[in-house]
Amino acid sequence: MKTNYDEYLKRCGTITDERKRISYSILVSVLSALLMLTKLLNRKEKGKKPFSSGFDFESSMSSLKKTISVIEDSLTKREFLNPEIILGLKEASRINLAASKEIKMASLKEDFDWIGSIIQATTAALDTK
Amino acid sequence: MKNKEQEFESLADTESDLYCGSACIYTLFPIIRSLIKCNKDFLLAFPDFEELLEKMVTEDGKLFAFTKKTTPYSDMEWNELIMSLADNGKLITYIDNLILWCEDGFIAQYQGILQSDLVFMKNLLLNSLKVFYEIPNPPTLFSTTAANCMQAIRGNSYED
Repeated sequence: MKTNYDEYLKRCGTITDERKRISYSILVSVLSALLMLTKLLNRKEKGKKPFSSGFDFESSMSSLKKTISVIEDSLTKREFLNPEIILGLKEASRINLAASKEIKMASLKEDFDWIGSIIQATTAALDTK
Repeated sequence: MKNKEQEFESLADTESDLYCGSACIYTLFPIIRSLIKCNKDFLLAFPDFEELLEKMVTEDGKLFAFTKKTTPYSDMEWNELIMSLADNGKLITYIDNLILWCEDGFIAQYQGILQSDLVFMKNLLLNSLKVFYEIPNPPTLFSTTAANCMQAIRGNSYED
């Protein structure tokens, strides 16, 4: 990570402009789901049943890492209207759905469902401004 | 407050014991910090919320490990399980009430994330409880705590 997570949390409690603080905290929140998504993709790819050829693992990972980086840059600069964030989140949502379709275990599917719903809720929250 | 950086980083680590239950907890820390700043009454309405979250980061793995346990439970293991269930039930109730707390104003933007976390945490707890209910002759305190958890899962009716 570019900035220490504890520093992110500290800022969530200090930004005085309410709308900025809410956007900031929502972006810090979604980072957890995106990090977990990279973990689940990595584990699946390195596991006994890797992704099929229809799922582009390398490109998906690269896209997710870029989105994480864009979000971190926005947190640093406190510029939350960056359209790259919304585009990145929409792509992350697509990747999550495509990966989920390759999963058979019900409990793991629920994990992907949760990640997808957090990404969608974040996109919706940031899009309302 | 505990330093959270290392655990946060390990959410992406394929070798770590942290999974979606822990990531779910991590989505809540920033929201809680922001709400504390937003409203001085927050800590009165939700005392020790952040402390509870800190405890819960590793509870997900603990509860999961109990669901896989095949040997009989010692008294100490029952106590551990019951305490973990109680914490899970309390957290679900907190999130449920927090959704209502965030009904008006800009903080309503948090509702979607909170709702996603609530559904996920309820499913996790319900799936674990189904396994624990199969254990013969549980202590009375387990039955009481499990019943409280079921009540927490039923929660506020707005989500149905």
